[in-house]
Amino acid sequence: MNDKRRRLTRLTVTAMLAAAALAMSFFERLLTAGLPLPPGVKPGFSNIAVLFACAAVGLPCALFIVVIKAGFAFLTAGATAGFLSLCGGLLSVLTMFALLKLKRERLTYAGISVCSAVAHNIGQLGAASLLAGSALYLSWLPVLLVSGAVFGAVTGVILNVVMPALTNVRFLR
Amino acid sequence: MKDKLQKIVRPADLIVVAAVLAVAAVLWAVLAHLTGTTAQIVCDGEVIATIDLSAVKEAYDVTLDNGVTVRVEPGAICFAASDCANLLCIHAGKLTRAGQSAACLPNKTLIRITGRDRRGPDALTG
Amino acid sequence: MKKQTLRRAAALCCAALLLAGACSGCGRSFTERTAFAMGSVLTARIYAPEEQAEKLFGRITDGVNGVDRRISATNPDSPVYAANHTGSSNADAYTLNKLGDIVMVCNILNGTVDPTVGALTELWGFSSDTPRKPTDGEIQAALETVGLEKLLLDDVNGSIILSEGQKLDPGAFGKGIALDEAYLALHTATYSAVVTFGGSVLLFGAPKSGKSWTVGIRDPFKGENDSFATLSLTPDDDNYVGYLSTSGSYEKNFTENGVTYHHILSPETGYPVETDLVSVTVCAGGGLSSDALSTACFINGLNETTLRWLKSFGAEAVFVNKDKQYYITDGLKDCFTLNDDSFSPMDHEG
Repeated sequence: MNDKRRRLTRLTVTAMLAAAALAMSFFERLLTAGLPLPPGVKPGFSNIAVLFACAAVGLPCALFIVVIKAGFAFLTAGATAGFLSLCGGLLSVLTMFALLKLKRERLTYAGISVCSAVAHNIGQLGAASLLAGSALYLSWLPVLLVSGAVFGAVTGVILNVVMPALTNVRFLR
Repeated sequence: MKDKLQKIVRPADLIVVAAVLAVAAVLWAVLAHLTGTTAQIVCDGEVIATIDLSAVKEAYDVTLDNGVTVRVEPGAICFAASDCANLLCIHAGKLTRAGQSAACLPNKTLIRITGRDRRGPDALTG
Repeated sequence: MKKQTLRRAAALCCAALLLAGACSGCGRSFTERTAFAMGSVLTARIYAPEEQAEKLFGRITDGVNGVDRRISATNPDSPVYAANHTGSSNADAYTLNKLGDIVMVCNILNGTVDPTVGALTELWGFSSDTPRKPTDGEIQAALETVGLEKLLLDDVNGSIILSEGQKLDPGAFGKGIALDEAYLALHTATYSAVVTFGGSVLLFGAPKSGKSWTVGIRDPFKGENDSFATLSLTPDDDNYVGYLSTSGSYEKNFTENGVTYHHILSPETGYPVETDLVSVTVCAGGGLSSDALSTACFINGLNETTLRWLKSFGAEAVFVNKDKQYYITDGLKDCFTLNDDSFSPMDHEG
């Protein structure tokens, strides 16, 4: 497999994953539309794509998906939503990257996903605090930590189950 | 069978989840002990109004320059109107306890309840 | 593997303990809503998930507004308002029932409280922005119109007929009746609640944190959030309902020419009742009765008749006088906790 082909494959896969992430976001919004959820509590299915990208393709790919997601949020929900998505996504990806490098043998994608989901929520809370120009949304933290843990675990387990089926993993790196 | 389970979930994963839940529980317990009656309206980082909600006798509205209206009631504060796109601020509903907050991010306005009270009786007569 | 399992177990145990600790504060999770009605603030703490609590609160405010529309003397839609302005008016069965209840309770209390004091209260203007002391002549004239026997509630024709110059003022009973309506709204559901309305309190169901409801008794000498004592009311079962009302001379008073006039008028003299008492708090099984009793006990003072009234309604009370002394009826003695040592028990023997 030569370099050119590898890069092309990587480019294509990145685009596909970004599209998949957006599709999952959309699907998620359909699911949660009627439910009275506090702001920031989301199943986070699109993170499956991001985590897969980070683990199987590389950091640049994951970052690209985060930017695309933030752009999508900006186009559909406004500049504030875009900014929050960007901050949450960046912190999330950096956490994923760090954990993948450090704790690969002890943690499965479930644990990494939990941490990245929590990081995502903290990133969003931080961004929101920055925008409002004031201190903490303390009262939201406990809820978001719990939802991050729960949903992060769910998406992580899904990835655990699905990963072995994607046999080209090694081939892409 | 055990191998398969190891691929889905491992001890370290569970520890991570437990740790996050524990932190959440601690934070929640700490917050639950704070009950307050002082509200603040914060615009662009500056506290532009501090209101003692327990001294409010009649509900009134505070209209800000940026298109946001805040309703102050005895014991509660909330967003009444805003020109923002998503109206999440209004959907946040009424704030009645310390630590609660709501914000209209596009308008950079935040309302919250601060302060701390001893755990009072269920009601006060008279 | 054993070490790992142990560590995992330890972490989970810690989390569980912390969660349990946090949940002990869970018992107090209620939804609190506030509304404005009948010129006062109504606050309800409903121990239910937010959605159900909102629905219940809606029903409560509907009930309270319904009471306002029927018996309020200041609501232009009410038959009472119409009667006050024209001397008589048609009234629906609900209104007549409520007025009939008021009359019945007042008769038991020997007319010490009276809804026909409208002309008198209007004269003093305590509910307006400009209260004033009327002249003796004005008071005498108004007193002529006061009297339950002069009021005609015609159930057959569905109307209220007032005598010449007579006016109705159900102000002393309105909040209690509204809380009775709140109870009707609440008891169809299984959630406990505490409803506070203009100083009167309704307790419904079993308290979530601990065995008793704690109600603070307002300190007559301090601000509106200060209590000098607490009552612990322990329900026997989930269907418990209790009402508390307080009548006090520390509210709605004005000073003219150096004299302070409080708002609890004696239907006999037409003047604010002269008494050593500064507040009476009554705990009863009904909203109307607790409201009526608190005012009647205040006007009549602490004596045998008053105590007999309380017994006949199965109600209890706490009396406070201007020397910071208090008297508690037998049923409440074990429920009473003093928070402020500057108060002392009265010497009075009922």
